[in-house]
Formats: sequence, structure tokens, C-alpha cells
Amino acid sequence: MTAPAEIASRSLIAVAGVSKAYPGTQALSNIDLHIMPGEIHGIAGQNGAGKSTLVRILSGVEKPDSGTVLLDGLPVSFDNPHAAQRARIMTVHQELSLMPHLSVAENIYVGELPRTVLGTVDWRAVRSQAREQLLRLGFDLDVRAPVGSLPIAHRQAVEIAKAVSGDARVLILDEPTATLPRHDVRQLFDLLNQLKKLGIAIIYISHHFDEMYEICDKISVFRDGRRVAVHEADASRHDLILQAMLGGVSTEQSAKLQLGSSETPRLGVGRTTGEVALAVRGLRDGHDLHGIDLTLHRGEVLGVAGLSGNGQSQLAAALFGAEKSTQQSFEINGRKRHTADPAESIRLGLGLLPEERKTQGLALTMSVTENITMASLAKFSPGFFLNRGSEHRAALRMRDALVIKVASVGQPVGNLSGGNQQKVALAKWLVSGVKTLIIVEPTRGVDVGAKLEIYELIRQFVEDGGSVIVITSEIDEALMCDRVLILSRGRISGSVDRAEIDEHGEAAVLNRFN
Amino acid sequence: MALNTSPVTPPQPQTSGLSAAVNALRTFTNSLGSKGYLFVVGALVLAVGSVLSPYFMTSRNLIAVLITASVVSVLAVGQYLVIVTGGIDLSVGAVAALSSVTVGLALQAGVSWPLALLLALLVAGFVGVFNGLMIIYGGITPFIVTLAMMSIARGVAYILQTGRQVAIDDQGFLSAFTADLGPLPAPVVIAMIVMIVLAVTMSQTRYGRRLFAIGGNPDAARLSGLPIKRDIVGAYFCSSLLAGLGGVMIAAQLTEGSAIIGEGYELNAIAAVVVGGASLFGGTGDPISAVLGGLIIAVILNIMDLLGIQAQPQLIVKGAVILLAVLFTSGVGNKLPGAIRKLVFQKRYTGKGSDLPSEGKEKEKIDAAK
Repeated sequence: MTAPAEIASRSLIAVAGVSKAYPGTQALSNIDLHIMPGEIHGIAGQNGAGKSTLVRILSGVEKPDSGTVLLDGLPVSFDNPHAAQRARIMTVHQELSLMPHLSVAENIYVGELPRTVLGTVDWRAVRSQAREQLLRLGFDLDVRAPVGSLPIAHRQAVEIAKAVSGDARVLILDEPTATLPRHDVRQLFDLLNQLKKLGIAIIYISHHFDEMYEICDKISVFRDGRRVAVHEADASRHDLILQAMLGGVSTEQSAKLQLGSSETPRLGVGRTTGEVALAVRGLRDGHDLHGIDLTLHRGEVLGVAGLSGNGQSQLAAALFGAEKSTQQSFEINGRKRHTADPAESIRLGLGLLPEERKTQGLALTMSVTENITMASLAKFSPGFFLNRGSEHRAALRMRDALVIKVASVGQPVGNLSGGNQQKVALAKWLVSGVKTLIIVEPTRGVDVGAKLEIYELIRQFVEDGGSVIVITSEIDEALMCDRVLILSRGRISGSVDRAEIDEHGEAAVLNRFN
Repeated sequence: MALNTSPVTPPQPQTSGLSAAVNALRTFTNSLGSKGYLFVVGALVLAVGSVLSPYFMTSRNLIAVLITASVVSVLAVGQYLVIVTGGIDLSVGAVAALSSVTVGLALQAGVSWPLALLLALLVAGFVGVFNGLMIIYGGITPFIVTLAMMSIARGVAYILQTGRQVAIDDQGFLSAFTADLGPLPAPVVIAMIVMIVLAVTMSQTRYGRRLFAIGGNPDAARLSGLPIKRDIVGAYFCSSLLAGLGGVMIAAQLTEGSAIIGEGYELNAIAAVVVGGASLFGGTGDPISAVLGGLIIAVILNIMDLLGIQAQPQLIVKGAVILLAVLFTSGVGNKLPGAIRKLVFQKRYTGKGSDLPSEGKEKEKIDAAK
């Protein structure tokens, strides 16, 4: 046994008794955590478990209500993120914090641009060092390009390069691989292992257990703002970790989540009909989509799979009419689509659950009710006035049916966790009565428990006669669909049907990726 | 009768007089909703006014304040519709001037007053639609479009006026916009009607909800199928239309149309909306709060008038009021109640000792770490 004091003094970074409350929720209660130099410490937990709050405290964004952060065993207090960075605690936040109009190089070195002897910025050095940093990560990017012009996966790389450029002692990664294609994850891990050898303490937050077992030394499990368990990061501890994290979830549910489990949940109900829900031929948007043919049958769950950056979000936007496109023909629920306009798509019975729900799917300052009824206001105002009573009842119905965890449906959506926000975004379409849905990355940034619930809700939607296109970069999600199209560089490069998936499993889809 | 209530009432916890008062005040302000602080500040201002000047609380003075505030209130309600979408309309003062000149010239030309009014509103509405179309289809930010329009509209008003005085002596027109309707003068009644109609529009109609949604998140609104282009043009149309109405009201009060009226009114309208607690980023606030915000400013200025304070220091006080209002309603304001709560209730909590152990533990750990 080691005395707590001794652990605290040897650890590079530690928190002792940290608590933090937000209006209505105790985000963290009495957290203790110690991380040694050269340790990669994973943090697992459902959305709303307090992981992001801990990150915000360690990175100086928030101050704890009580408790201390210890660096080298000495208490420190950060008034702002810059103070944390000066203490060389670098953070890659879940939401990217890059400046889209500045170049890649400027973003990486912002705040500490190398100077020439004259005191002006040494742009040559900025560019060459930025390039070097990115190459260490395995990315060969044009460092003069504005960040806004890069695909999301590359922006993530820039964000990580920025964090490690400043001679970090502590590196905090909040879901670093959420937008990284699998093969780039490998390069990230190589880099993390290098940093580990340099004695940097790394905090690694992720929803991907396989990644954490591979890269982490230990895994702390958070639940409801408490640290409920700590385990060696080893796949053999998976059951224990899952149990600690899920708490009340049944063993049947958690069995489905086990790595390599044969029993994956299905989104489709296998009731595909011959009728066409959505059909498009020769869809182009002039830059990212190069002639896509796609047919969704009624009652079908069609997966569109591909590594991120192959035109997923562009495809969703073009199908929904949010962006202009050209095509030979476009039909939704048996009727021709005349113009690219979301309002027209909705009239024809098509809805879109976008990838970035916070910036595209929801008005965060508005209430749960107001978000749920946003796409069907006409339904709630038969005369001149809104019927706020029936709006409220519809919101309550959705809250109960989808198990949306809210104190009140009058609460702003911005206060909810990712999983609950996704449910509100889904509820909006359920209330509107659309029969066909495009869902992009249905469970991005959603914790394991809520993930299963969302899969179940999609299944329910199909059961009730809906049809769904799931656009995803998660291979597991693609495998749950009735049929899978492979999206590659803006084209459909292959199609895999259910029988092939059942026979060959993951390989059926993976083999088609280039 | 209340026979069986008293025996089952649990004993009330003992609270100090101060905390009880703070509690009562908070319950009261909460029950007034988001406008709570405006009522409290308004009551405070009225109380201060009645203490400082014996003339303040006379009905003659109060009605004079209401008349002064009525034009800015009408402009502020229009401004609010634009601000809730995340935009701004700097042209309202100039549009009021243009509208006053239009109505004056029409009346001089012998047009009947309802037609002259309609003409002025049409001109104003046209300006608003132009603003909206430039913002939506020209892709120019609202600030720039309406800044340019502020200059254009006033320029047009000067040219129409051609240097002469545009006196108005149409008695029907003057009495419609200045006579008393029951206990209240017409301008006050007009401002109240405008306020109520727009308040109902914002809270009870689809259009109001759509404006909130556009201000809250334009992308989400568009992807929910809302006609955001049309709605934004509509908001600038309404703002200009109400500015035109305000201009007509001033013309009646001054018995002339003039290109120099309404100078700086756009800023007064924006100030009223902001003091009313709406965010310039859009998606918050309501028309009644905007009017209350404008009234608070008007009353403060009136009190200073009664005290014989010069116009120059009044400008400084007006600026300070705006800053204080924003401090109170935005960042600091949200923290303030918490800070007060801590100050008032800290003793009780520590008295129970619930906070003490964790504090002690914290200290131990820090000591141990050292």
C-alpha cells in the first residue's frame, strides 16, 4: 500500500477532491485522480458522466467549486486557458478550437509565433516547423492553406499538432479519434507512444474501448460525476469496466457491446419492400460528389459507409436539398423533387439528422419543446395562433417515448448531454411525421448507453413504416444496415447486401474500402 | 373554514430577516419571469424620482414622459424584431424623417390624411424590403446595409423637403395623432397597441417562433424547412414600417415634416432593446421588455430634467445606464444572484457544518502534498 500523499507527490498531475456543480446538475463530485509521468490514463464514461467537465477544469476553462489541481504535487489554480497552457498542460478539445480563416501553420503556432532578430514573425520558420510537426503525425498537408478549407479529419490533425507543438508536459485528448479515419489513428498512437517515452502525462478520453485498451495504461471510469472505478487498461477487464460505467444497464445490453461479439444489434427489420422511398440518379454538387446513383426502398435501412472525408456530409446535404446539386432524376416517396430546398424535401416526407447537431440540428438557446416542434409549426397552429398546450403535450410524449432526460421540456437544449440532444433532434422529425430519414453519424459523440437507445429508436422508426439512410464512417454501424453502399471519393464504389454481410462479416465491407 | 389547516402546518424554519427579504424578492422577480428585473429597476427609478422631485409623480409629468417615450417605443419594438434574428437596423431614425416629410408633403398637396399616412408607411415599408433583400440576396451584413440606408433615406428626405418648412395644419391628422383617447393621449395608445400586437406575435404565432429560431440558430432553422429568407425580409419590413409610423407620430407632435427629425433615434431604439435584456446575437428577449427598457431610460432622463441637470451630463448618465443594464443582464448578471446567494446564505450552511469537512480534507491534502 502506498500512502495517498506519496502518490500525489510522485504524480505529474493530480486532482484532489474536485467538485463542480452547474445549475441543476452536480457535474463532478469529489474526484481524486493521479497521473504519473509517462502514463497514458484513459477516462471512460457515458455522456454527462463528468469527463468533459474534468477536462475543462484541467485546461483552465472552468474553476472547481472545491478541491485542488496539483502539478508536480503542488496546488495550482488556473484563471484561464492560457494559464494552463503556460504550465504546459495542453488540451485537444472535443469541439475543435481552430481559426478557420488562418492558415494551418498560423493555427499551430498561434500565440507563440517564432520571431526573427528584427522582432517580426519568422514565417519561413513557422511554415517549416508546422510542416515538421504534421509530418511527425504522418500528415503531409499544405501548411499555407486556410484551416477552413480542410476536411474535418485533417483539422483534427492540425489540432493535435498544435497541442504537442508547445513542449507539453501534460496532454489532454478529448475524443481525439472521433473524426479520424482508422488508419490515421495508428499514426496518432505512434506519436503518443513517443510522447510517453518523453515522460509526458497523457489523459485520453474516448468512447472507443479497443483504442483505450491498446494505448492506455490505466482506465478510470466515471459515472454521474463520480470516479467509480479504476482498472488496468486490458481487454480482459472489459466486463468490469462496462459494468462500472453503465451501472444499471442489463447484462444483455452490455453483452452486445462486447468487443468481437457476434451478436450485433440490427437497425433494419428486414421488411424491405419493392416501393421506392428515395431515388436519385447522377447526383453531383460540382466539387465533392461525382455522379451518385442511390435507391432507398421503403422499409429499408441503407448504410452509406466510407472513411470520413469521402463526401459523407456533402451527400447528406445534397440529398436533403440543403446544398445545390445537379442530377438526372430525383424522386422522394414517389414524387419528383423540383428544387433543392429543405422545405420542399420535408413536404415530400424527407428529414435530415445532420452530423453536427449543435451547429446544424438544434437551436441551443431554445427549449426542448421549441426544438421538437420546429419542423412542424404548421401542425401546432391550426388557426392564426400557436397552440402551445398541444406543443407541450407533444414534447412530453416525445420525452417519454424517447426517454429524453430533462428536468423540464422548457429547459434550453444546450444544457443536455450529447445523447439527449441527439434524441431531441430525432424527436423533431418523429413529430413532423416524415417517413424517410437521412441520418449522418447517428451516434457521434454519444455514449455507449445512449448509443444502444438511439439504435433502438431508429429500429422502431423503421418498424413503424419508416425508411432510413445511415451515412456513417463506423464500420460497426454500417454492418447493422440491410444493405451497404460504399462511398469513396464522391462516388459509390460498391454495394454489399445483407447476405454477404452475414456470411463474411466485417470483411464484406472492409474489402471494398480502398 | 380553515379548521384543519393549522394543526398540520409544519413548523417554519427560522430565517433571518434579511435572507427572508432576499428570498421574497427573488420569488417575486422570478414570478415576473424574464421581465422581473425590469419591474424592480423601474420601481426603483420611480421611487427615486418621487423622492427627488415633488413634480415627478404628477400625472401631467408622467403623461409627458409617456408621450416622449411613445415614438422611441414604436421604433424599439420594430428594432427588436430585427435584433431577435441577430441583425440590426440603423436606418430607423432616417426612415422616420423620410416618413415625416412624406406625410407632410402629401398633406400639403391636399391628399386626405389617411391616404397620406398610407403613403408614408408605403415609402417606409419599401425601404425595409430593400434592406432585407440587400441583406439576403446581396449577402451584405445588416450593419452595413442599414448604415448605408440611414444615409440614403435622410438624403432623400432632404431633397424632398428642398429647404422649405413642411408645415402641417390638417386638423383631422393632428387630432388623430395627438388628441386624448380617454385618459391617455393618442401616441401613448398607439405605442401600447403596437407593443401588444408584436408581443402576441412573438410569443403566440408561427412567425414569432420562426424569428426566434432564426436568431437561435439560422442553420438549424433552415434545415427544419423554415422560410428564413422571407422571414428576415419580413423583419426588416416591419422595422421600417414601424419607423415610418414613428415618423408620422413625430410629424403630428411638431406639426411639421422635417428631414432633421429622428436624428440618433436608431441608437435610442437599440438602447431600449438592449436595456430590455435582449442579446444582440439574437434569439432572446421580447417586445414588452424593449418598451420597458426605453421607458426606464426616458424616466431617468425626465428626473434629471426636473432636477435641472444639463443635457451634457444627461448623455453620460444615459450611456452608463446602457452599460449597467448589459452588465446586469449578460455575463455578470447571471453570476450576480449566485454571488448574493452565497453572501447571504453562507452562514447557515457553514453553521450546519456540511461544507466544513470537505474544506478540512482539502487542506489536509494540500498540506500532505507539500
